[in-house]
Amino acid sequence: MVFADLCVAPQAFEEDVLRSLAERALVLGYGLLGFSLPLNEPDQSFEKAKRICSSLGLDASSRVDLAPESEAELRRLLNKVRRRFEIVAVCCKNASVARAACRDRRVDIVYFPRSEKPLFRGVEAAFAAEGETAYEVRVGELAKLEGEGLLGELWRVSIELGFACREDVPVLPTSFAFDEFGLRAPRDLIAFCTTVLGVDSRTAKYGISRYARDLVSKNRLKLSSRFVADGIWVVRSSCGH
Amino acid sequence: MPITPQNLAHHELIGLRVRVAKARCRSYKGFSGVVVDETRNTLVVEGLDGKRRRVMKKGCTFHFRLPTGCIVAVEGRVLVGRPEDRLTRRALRKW
Repeated sequence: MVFADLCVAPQAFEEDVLRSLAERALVLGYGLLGFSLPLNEPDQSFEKAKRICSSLGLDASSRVDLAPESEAELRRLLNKVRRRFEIVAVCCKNASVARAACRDRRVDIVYFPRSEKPLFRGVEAAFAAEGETAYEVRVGELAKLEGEGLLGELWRVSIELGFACREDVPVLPTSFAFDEFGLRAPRDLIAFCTTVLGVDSRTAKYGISRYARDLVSKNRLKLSSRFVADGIWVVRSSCGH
Repeated sequence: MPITPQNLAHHELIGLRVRVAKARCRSYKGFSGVVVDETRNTLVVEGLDGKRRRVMKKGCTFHFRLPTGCIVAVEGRVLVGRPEDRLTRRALRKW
């Protein structure tokens, strides 16, 4: 089974950092890495990462993390980036952005920053399930917390995950690693979600394996010139299309 | 109006060559022929042996060969609906 970590965020796109990250990912059993790129990052950075990964037999996917303050800003950013990146993730800072992001089909992944109350509830979960948007759990970020902060976050995330599981929203555990030391093995991600957050192991496993691979392949098809519209694509073009 | 990949979902399908590329029902898979009739939920396909089979649109992916030689894959859910209703349906989502 090929696992995917759809959120690795190297702080510098340098050859040695990327190579050590990719080598470690390969050892841990990953077949696909999603590189989180800043909006203004030149395309050459991702091309470099992709080249290194493919030389090791890994697949690499480009990802962008949006952090809009309002619905209007979210739409503006989506119009700008959707055709540039394979994965679009949205950090939902408030309830209106959360609802809009879950409803918008162009958003692939939603995640939530530290907050006192859950922002992902029944309505957001229903929208996310309809639009096939995944709920991301950044295990690396959670594991760094301590004391009351950790307790509060675990409480919030487990409530949000409860809503997600009830509506069959895909749960996507990611290691959110800056370097090779931050990478976590697929079984560690599944174990964290199962034992600490109370997610069914099958759901967590599905999130980092089949769902992640399907998401990337589906988005690649949509970004290719063969894509015509939702559910229609050209298999063999001999008509000057 | 000539049939193109862009207007295929709104166009008349009768007369087009088709192959069932994917299907929930295993017996449909790989069946090919010419579309001879269409209802809201099914396509009637006449195979090379002259046999007619009724194939559910939903749950199947079809490969249509256009007169220009272009092969277009269409998920059956896109085609669900009567031909005269599909004509006036809203444009399909681009994402």
